Amino acid sequence: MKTDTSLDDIFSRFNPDLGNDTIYMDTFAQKLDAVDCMKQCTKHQIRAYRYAVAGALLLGMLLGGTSVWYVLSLPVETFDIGIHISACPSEFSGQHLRIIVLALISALMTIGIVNLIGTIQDLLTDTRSRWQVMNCKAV
Amino acid sequence: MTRAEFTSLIGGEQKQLRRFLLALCCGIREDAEDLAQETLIKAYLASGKFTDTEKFTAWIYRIAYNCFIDHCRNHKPFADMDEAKHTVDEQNEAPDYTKLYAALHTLPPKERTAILLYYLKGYRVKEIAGILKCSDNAVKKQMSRGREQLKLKLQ
Repeated sequence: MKTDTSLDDIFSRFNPDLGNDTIYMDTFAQKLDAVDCMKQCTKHQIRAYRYAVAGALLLGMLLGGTSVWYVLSLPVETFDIGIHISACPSEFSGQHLRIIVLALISALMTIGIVNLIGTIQDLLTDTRSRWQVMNCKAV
Repeated sequence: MTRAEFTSLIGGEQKQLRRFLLALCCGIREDAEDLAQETLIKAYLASGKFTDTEKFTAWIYRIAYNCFIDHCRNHKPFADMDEAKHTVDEQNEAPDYTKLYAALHTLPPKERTAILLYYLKGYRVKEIAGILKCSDNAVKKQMSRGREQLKLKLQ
């Protein structure tokens, strides 16, 4: 590529005043402190979410298993209400109703567990965030 | 890469980077400083996965270029030199620089970046192509056009 001395001269003389390097690096170090603080907060939040998911899974399996065992241990006759509907070719047997009851209990338990874990997590996150903000030097 | 390593590498490069960005932003110091901060923070966030310290400088300029392109989406280059000159803070800049900034302002972002990487950083065509993520021929064309335009505006 051909060299262009006129542009070379112009750019070689280009030396604008950019201020003090030490002051710039000190200011930048403070910004890095803030970034590190944010990274720590994010890491804690992710860990909290993982614990919440694991807790919800365990609680769900425990409660769900107990509910299933309880519902299945009841006699079928408990659920037998024998609805006769002219539009419907077959009546609801106790077995069908037992399944519907199980499904409803599962849905309610899922909603309950998710809300419970979410509320606990929000409270913990809020407390932890306030503590971390107070301890972060740069914030 | 640890924070200490990153800071050590940046310490040696930050002045040149800021000089490059000031020229890239055609003398608008606020934009140049914002871009410098954005570049360095993004580089720090990504530095954990970066291991090749020999290519660190080129990597930083790649990030700077990407930040500049995002910035340019909201700021179109001027076609007219006189219009461009009004954006430069003439009171605080040396007269030589004012004319240079106004001339650079008329170049499209890629041409401006290629020219400045060549003249301010001394990068070769292949290295510039790596930073701009385009072919060597494309860089040569951009530089050729940029040079002609600059020589015309700086006469």
